[in-house]
Amino acid sequence: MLICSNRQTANILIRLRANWIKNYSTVLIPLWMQFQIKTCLGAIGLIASAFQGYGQLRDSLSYEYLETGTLEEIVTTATRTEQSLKNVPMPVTVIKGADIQRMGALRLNEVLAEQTGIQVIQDHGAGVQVQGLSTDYVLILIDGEPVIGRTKGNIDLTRLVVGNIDRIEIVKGPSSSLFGSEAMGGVINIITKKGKETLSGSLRARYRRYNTLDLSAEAGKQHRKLGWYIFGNRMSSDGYFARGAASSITKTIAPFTGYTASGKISYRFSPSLELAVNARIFKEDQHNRKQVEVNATPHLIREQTNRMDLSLTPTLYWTLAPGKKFQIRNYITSFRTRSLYEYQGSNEVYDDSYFRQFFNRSEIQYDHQFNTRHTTTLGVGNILEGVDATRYENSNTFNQFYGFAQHQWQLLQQIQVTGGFRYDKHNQYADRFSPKLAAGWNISKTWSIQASVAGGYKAPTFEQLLLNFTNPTVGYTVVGTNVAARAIRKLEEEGQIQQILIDPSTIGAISAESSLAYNVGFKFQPGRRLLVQANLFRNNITDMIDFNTVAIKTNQGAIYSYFNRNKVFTQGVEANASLKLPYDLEISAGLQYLDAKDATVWNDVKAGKVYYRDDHNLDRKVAPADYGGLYNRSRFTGNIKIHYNNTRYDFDIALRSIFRSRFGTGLDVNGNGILDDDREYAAGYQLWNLSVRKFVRKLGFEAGVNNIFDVHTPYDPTTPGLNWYAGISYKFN
Amino acid sequence: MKRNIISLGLLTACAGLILATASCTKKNTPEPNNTTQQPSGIEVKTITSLEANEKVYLNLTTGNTVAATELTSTNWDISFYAKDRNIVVAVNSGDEGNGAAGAQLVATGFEDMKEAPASGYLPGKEATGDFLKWSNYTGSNEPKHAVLPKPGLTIVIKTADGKYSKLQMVSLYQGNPNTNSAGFADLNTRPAFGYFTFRYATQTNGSRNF
Repeated sequence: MLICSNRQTANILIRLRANWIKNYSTVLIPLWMQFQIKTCLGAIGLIASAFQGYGQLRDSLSYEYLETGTLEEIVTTATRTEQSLKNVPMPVTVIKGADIQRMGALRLNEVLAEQTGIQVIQDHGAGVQVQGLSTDYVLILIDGEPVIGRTKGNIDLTRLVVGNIDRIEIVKGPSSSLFGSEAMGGVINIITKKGKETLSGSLRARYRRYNTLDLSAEAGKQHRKLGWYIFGNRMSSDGYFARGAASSITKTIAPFTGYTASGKISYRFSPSLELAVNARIFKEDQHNRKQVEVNATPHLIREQTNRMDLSLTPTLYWTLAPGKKFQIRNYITSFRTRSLYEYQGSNEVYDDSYFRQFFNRSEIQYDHQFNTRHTTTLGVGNILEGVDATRYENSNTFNQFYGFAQHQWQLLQQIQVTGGFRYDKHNQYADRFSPKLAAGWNISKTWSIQASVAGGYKAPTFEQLLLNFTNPTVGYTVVGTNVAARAIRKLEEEGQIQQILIDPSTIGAISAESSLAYNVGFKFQPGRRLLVQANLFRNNITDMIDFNTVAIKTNQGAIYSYFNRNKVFTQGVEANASLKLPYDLEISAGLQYLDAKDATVWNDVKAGKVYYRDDHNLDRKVAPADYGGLYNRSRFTGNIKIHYNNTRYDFDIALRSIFRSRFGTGLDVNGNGILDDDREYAAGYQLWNLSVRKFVRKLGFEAGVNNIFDVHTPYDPTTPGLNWYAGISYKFN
Repeated sequence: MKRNIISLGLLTACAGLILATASCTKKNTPEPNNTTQQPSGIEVKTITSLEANEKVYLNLTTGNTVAATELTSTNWDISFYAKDRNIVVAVNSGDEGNGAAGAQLVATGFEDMKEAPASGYLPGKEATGDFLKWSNYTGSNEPKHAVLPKPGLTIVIKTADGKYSKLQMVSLYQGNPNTNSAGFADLNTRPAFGYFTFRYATQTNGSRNF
């Protein structure tokens, strides 16, 4: 039907309008079609003419396409229904698979690092900050299902390979009304590829500095009833010492070998019934060395860490009648790590610890489209979760029930209102109610605005609930809220308690951390070349969990437990602009201004109640302008991207830069424990990455340099200075 | 090399002390090495590196120490003790003395402390005995394993004879060192712990205003 020539494929959604419906904007029929097109001829025009020649369609339907040349995108994360990006009244960003391919990224952290409003940070692995909220408050999903296995609240993004990603949808601001806990700063949903109409796939090999080798293979096909897609990846690296690293024994990034395999299979029993099963396995082994002192003698310790996650998700899609759809799914996943430390030479065990988590979610979702204006989504679910770790007393099981409801209302032709809530009932902490209300108005073809207000929450962590840990050398004890009363009573019976400061029986009633957030944004699109978007945000977070002393032991060691105490706010603005220039040149820039503060501290600073010690140890008042807010937040972050695509000689070039301004490191030089001195900041930095690709028929060649100017910072060990790579790929279809 | 410079610095600090106190021996007669005035006209005295291997008893009105023979009297207001890692500050009352002095910690900077609270004074070492109530232990944060007085915290004292005094602990290390210096960060060159540097001001007219 269409002229097909080369590799470039595009997912095309054509907005179809049935002639018998007057209100055209309300019927959106996603038609996922794979076209192979030669962009130099003008993709849109070609498709348009192709369709115009397609008589039957033309008779019953008319079509439209966006004038920008970018085809209308469908997103599923913001409302849990397929919805046109244009009509979603929340801040949503889509990263396309093609962009991921173009930048030569290997793991998810590299992709997210180049997005506006997302700051990749290092805290027990690579994590993300969204709208100034740290990684604990960001939900990572794969095909709508949460990734588990947080270490100190962080899901290490280097666990997630990118070769099987079709696109990534990022919803900023809280989405707890649909997704529950952790969907407070944002939701990052990785949507994986599926089989195409023809048997297609690829092989790809890349080699990077530090003997990093990445190999991947994929294949898939969508038959009439059966669809399948498989993906495999192996990545290994020698790791490296960061420049200026304190240790010459322990590598900053440990040598590792990791394997990922994932697959999908689906079968359409009838036009109204389809079963799909997704599966994924990831396994990684790391090894490193470190030096410890035991009885004042230095010993070399060999460290072996392995981690693994597994998941299986069967989903049944059942269409009762047009516009009435059920999704019945069960997601079962487990994550485990083990760290074994042995004395080098004698092989005696120095330390051996493990963490195992099990998660099962059963859910039914029902979408009911009443008419062209009203769509309701209802869902109920159950989460069963188990955790077992060296530092927890027993294996523990959590049980949670939830229900959610959402209604999308096309109020007027160009005004869309979405409201919803979710109720969570958990057996370990107080019930949660998370509402959301959002509205968007496409004022004209050029302007649109949107606003939302939403509640988010984050469940207490396993540590906060379950930990029972006594530091053997210093003698302090930390007890989770669940075990506090029992643990302290036991210590009391043993005569180890000198003084009780807070009645342990009052500790158990911990609440989830919660937020209320406001987002207001606009989109300005004058014609097809320029797009400017901005979003203002404000998150008010309450009941943040912090530890406090509950008792003093006879050995003078403190006993700590957790309490809902702090209030924090983050606010700012995120702006993006992209401009298409002649000769297939595209320039885009993004900037985020962020103000993230501890509300309690900020009020005290404004009231003149906070002091610091000067170099003579005398106290001085902290000026409000000197309070820098939360640690590890840059006031300004942003990126610049320049893409050049040459269709004549079939190559492309992508030059990207990311930067962040100075940020607090957590160092306190003046005794007040807050960020208020220039010496408590790390300098900002800017990185430049370049990638080039050239295609010869089915073969692709790529090469690039990440961090061209060899910038390095001790606060981001994944930035090891200049890092080159080269690779080759083969595509078949 | 670095260490030599620091120890030289320490020597000079001790030499300074010798000059200021006329003797560097065990018995202390703390002399303020710096005297300024509050806007209200009250004198602020700063005592640097008070050594208190044995308890030192201070009268906050006269600024004199009190001899051991007078310990049972009401002639002293506050006592300092620092030996090994044990630091105790107490006032003349309760288990510590026969007076009726009291102390409390107020979360206000020294200079902003314009009026003493009317009530809330605790006897003996109840308010100030545990030094972690008015200082922070840095633990594994830089500078490691240091005890640093909390900024913006003033010890308000009702003296044995019913006057009001405010006192701020400045340092617990010999010579009141800059705690951000490399010499302080290095445990090998860090000045000795257990030397009190503090500033205080006493309202002699009996009012609570400073």
